[in-house]
Amino acid sequence: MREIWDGLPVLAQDLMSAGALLLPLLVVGGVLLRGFRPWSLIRALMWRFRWANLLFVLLIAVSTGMGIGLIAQERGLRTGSAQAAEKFDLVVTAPGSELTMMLAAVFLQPSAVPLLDGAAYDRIANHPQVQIAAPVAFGDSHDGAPVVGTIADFVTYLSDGEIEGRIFTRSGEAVAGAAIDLQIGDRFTPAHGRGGGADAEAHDGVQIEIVGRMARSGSPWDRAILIPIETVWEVHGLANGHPFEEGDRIGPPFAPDLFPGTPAVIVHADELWANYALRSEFTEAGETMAFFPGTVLADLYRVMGDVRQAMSVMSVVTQVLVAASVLLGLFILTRLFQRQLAMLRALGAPRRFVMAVVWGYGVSLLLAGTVLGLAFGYAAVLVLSRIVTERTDILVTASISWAEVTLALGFLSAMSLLSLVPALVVLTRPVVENLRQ
Amino acid sequence: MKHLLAALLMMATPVLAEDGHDHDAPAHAFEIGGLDILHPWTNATDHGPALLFMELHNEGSAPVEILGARLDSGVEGQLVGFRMKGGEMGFETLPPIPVAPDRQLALAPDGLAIRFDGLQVALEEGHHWQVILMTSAGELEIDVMIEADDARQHSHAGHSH
Amino acid sequence: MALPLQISDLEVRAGARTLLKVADLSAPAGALIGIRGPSGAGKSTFLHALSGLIEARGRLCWGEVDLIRLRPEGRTAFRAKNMGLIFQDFLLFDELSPQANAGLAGLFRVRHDRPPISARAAEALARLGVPEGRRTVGSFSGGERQRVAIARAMATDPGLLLADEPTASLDRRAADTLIDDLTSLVRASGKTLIAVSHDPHLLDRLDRILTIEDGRVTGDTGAQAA
Ligand SMILES: Nc1ncnc2c1ncn2[C@@H]1O[C@H](COP(=O)(O)OP(=O)(O)OP(=O)(O)O)[C@@H](O)[C@H]1O
Ligand SMILES: [Mg+2]
Repeated sequence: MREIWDGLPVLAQDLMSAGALLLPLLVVGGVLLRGFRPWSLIRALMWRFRWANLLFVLLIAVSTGMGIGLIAQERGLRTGSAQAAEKFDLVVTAPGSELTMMLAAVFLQPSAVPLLDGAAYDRIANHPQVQIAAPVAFGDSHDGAPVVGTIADFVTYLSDGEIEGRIFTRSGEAVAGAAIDLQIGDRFTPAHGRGGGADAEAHDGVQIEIVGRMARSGSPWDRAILIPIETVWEVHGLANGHPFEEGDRIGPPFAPDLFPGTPAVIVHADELWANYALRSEFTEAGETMAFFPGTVLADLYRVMGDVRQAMSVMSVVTQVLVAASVLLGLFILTRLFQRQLAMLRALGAPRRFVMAVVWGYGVSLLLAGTVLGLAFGYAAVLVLSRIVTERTDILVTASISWAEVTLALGFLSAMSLLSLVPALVVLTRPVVENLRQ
Repeated sequence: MKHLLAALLMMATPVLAEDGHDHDAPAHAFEIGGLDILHPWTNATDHGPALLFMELHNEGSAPVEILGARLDSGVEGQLVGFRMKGGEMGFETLPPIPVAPDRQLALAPDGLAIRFDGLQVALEEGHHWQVILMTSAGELEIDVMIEADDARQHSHAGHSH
Repeated sequence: MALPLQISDLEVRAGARTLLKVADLSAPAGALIGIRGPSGAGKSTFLHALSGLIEARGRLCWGEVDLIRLRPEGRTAFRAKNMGLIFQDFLLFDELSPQANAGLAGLFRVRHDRPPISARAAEALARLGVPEGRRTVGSFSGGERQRVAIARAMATDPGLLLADEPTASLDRRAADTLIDDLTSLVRASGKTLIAVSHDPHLLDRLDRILTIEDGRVTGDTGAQAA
């Protein structure tokens, strides 16, 4: 059984589990409605109590939408941040918190981090399995955007070679991220530091020219300006990694004793397996720390997953409360049209028909609420994604997946079973008593 | 630091055993062709997949390739690497990985592992599991500690580094 | 098809109290019978017993069928097939058109019953002069509503019509025209009509009047006639 199931395509599995969830609804509906046409009466009830019905539908929609929005947003954030980190196979830094280092080196969050020296960089760069060992130096900014020093190969790797204009070839040139408001040919002076504490005058007299622009990547690097790491060092009055006789050459190799240090080295190996070996090798107590941003993210997602679970529980509780109040509302409303239901019985309508009317009415409200809830959830995710993307430059795409649809269908199905209760209660009172009211 | 402790641990297994370790527990360090294997462990599981973790250190003079592992029953375990792809965590099958002389390699959660699919018997916490590690230097039976199903490191981690 | 009525030792109780006791009563198919009596006498109770809506003891036969012997769902089916009910306050669905209201029984009947039901509903509505069109009955006058209710009762072509105070909610003129239309329609189709009413104009037009007081039949204009 299990093997057959596992062998099915994912879509088939999703469709089948959705079908299984809906099965109780379909079975009850099939049994109750078979041979009957209660819809005109249900429409009449919908219209008669339109304001109360609207309220119920909105209640269901909001509670469903909240639950769905939460799950979808969490997934969007997870996918978005993972994709933003995808190019960063392995990061080597000075020992410290992997999370802090990842946020600084991969997500370009401002923070003061210790430096790796020239010898450490040299060992990484000269490892036979390392294809790119890119020092990244951050700390300066322009107009709030981080100015990051690195090497040309890394810019090519990061942008998959999709650069408008050209890559920097000498100190004083820059390649802008896709979201940067500078044109090719523009010049700027970097400020020392970032955010409120940035010192705009510290690097007076330095002019950096934009010579290229990277394609959009959906990561915080879209809002970064990449310059040769030599420029960063020079601007700060440090050695530029090259002996005098090399002239204006930029990029590796660097002379270890003229290498002022770098907060992080992004490592790309030519083979996947090598990354794991490199992590072991570059993790040296007291000297360097190597980590996979993917792993750090995985840890983070596990925590996020716990938070999501807690929030899911809360949203389920909300949904149960909403369900309870909707059921109560159904009870009250059915009392309001109890005489008409009694009239149906007096005219010779079978019990099943009366149940079909009450149940169909309840399920129509639930269905409308659930469908609207999916729309609400989607809208919420759309808005939240836009906000998150704007604030963090992590491209968060809004999408509703089967997980959310399944949640909504499960709720709908469970509630549709509960809607049988008011339908049954209507039938417990004798017809004549209801007629007399 | 880690080298030192690893070496110490291997030389001083009996000492450590007296040092509060389970007396009946088999050794937690193994060696083949100069390759030291330290603290092999896995998570308890009812039905696979089981991920085998360990620390490797090549103390010899020739590189040793890690090929995979197998069980007496014939079930084979493959080298896999944890990967984040499109926000989903997963594993990718890897080719043999060489450990050069004086280098180390850690098989650890969210990194490298040897994965066994289709285990017939459950792995129970606190028990041991016999696995045959396959390397270019030959095969070696190792004794794997079964840790809790949610353990993120072997239970000796606290005092070994 | 109209059915003869045969009652013996009919008794309806509520707890210890006897609401209705009818020792012996019979009526031929096609009779037009009125029931009168003071408020609280048990007239509605009698009508409910005749339609099988309440539990009773004794014998109550419509033709060959003893309603009291039937199980509840059997009574429901019998009602659906043989009876049309008319209420004092009409009990229509205000949100629906007169056609939909009159054809209500089609919603829970088998497929091949539906076309004749809507055809008869339309025919009855036309004969009773109910305005056609898409207007819902929510905007209808009392007289128009009761006509829709009568059309609804006639749509299944039942042998028996049971009406509880059909003119009580109407003004005199509306009541009088309704009485004309109802009695002529019933006579033309040969159905049995049993109507509870205080309205002398209606009672005058019927063949036989039962008086119920304190749960007993105390007068019967048909007793001597029969
Ligand atoms: N379920 C019940 N339990 C106890 N008493 C009941 C019950 N149903 C009806 N009654 C009583 O039986 C009596 C007869 O009621 P019924 O409705 O038949 O009167 P009626 O003749 O139709 O009166 P009206 O002209 O006011 O409609 C009333 O006193 C009523 O209160
Ligand atoms: Mg009455």
